Amino acid sequence: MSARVRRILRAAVPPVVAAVPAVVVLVRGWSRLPETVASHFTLDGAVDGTSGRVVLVVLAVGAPLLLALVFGGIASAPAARRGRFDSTRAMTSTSWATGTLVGGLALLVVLANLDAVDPRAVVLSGPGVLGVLAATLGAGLLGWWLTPASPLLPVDAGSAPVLHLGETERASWTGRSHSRMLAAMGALMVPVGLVIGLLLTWVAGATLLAAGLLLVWSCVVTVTVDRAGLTVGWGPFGLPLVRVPLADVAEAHVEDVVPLGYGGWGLRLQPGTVAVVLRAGPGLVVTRRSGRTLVVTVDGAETGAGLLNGLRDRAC
Amino acid sequence: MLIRVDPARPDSLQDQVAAAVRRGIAEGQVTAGDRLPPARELAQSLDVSIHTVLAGYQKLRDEGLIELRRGRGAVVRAGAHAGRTGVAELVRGLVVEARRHGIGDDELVELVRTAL
Repeated sequence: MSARVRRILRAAVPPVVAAVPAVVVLVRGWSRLPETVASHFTLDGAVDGTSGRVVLVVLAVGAPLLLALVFGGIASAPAARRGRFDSTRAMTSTSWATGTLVGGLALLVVLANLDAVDPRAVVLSGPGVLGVLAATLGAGLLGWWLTPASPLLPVDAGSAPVLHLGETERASWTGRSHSRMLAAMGALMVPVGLVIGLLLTWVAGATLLAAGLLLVWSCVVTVTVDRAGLTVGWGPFGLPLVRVPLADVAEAHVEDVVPLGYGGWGLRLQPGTVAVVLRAGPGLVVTRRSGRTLVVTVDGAETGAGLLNGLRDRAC
Repeated sequence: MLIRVDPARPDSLQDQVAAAVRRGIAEGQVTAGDRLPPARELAQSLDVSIHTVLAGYQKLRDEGLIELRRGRGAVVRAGAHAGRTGVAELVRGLVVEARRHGIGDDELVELVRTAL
């Protein structure tokens, strides 16, 4: 079994396993459940919301499968870390903990509703909730302990080309990068959001729908290098997201970006570094005069870095 | 795609813009369906007039390399493969060379026709 398959299984299987007890009780006790069940509880275990029985299927089957899909998808990316923070390990640990929490709560909710006459009178077991919270903590720690540490990336292995410019020459470079992963996740969230919004609660549905549309919108960035410096544009219309003025450019080079090395995809803010990560592969790295860096994944990064270095040399 | 122009060169800025895009297509920096930078942004970026960029883009449209659509901007056409782009670039070189030697436009067309 390859390291990649092991990583995916380690992240995707626990939410499914943790859901097994709830699913077993749900299947065996289906006829003992009332048509309307208690589905939402206050912090002290009293009921403050009811739904149709199908909500228990969503809770016990749908939610764990979604967790497995999302965490398995993230884990399919190569594991790497730049500093002490290990994204793959933290992500796997989160999957174990979240899976246990969801599976445990689903079990408690199904058990509480068995043979209930009045769904409003159902009470969630207090010791049960404490037990689930303890198991969540334990699963998180176990997940962390069972995941091997990710390899540490070399600090600087990038090449720094220089494109020489004539005295009166003017140059402009535009590069793009897009993320199939963000587009696919967004495209998946839109219909799921619609279904949840129409069938269950419109608040969660609308949130998912909006997040899905935002992801689809964000799946492309445009990078421009010219006399003004470097500009990262966001979305199809290239709204300015980050800008490094030419006078602030110390050096530009190309790096083979491993997304989890920066904590994942999207706009990642880390100490001393801003990273715009849409995919794995070549990225343009700009070091500012202050020593802070900007990383952006983009096709043809080498040309962009070369032009930025050339413009800087000529301006000096 | 990298676009370099130089006012100190003898050929016009619009020709230089067109040549840079042709080169970008020939080298595969942009491929069929890709959008070129919007004329307004490219003009601002290169510190040239928007008419210069538009004139360059129109030249490329006349050569059949890109499509210009209101609202969609300039898009590389499906037929704009490297071979055709290379020929367009050679023709442009031919015109420059002919003019340098004082050969008139009609005379050049005639010369090309005899070679066909």
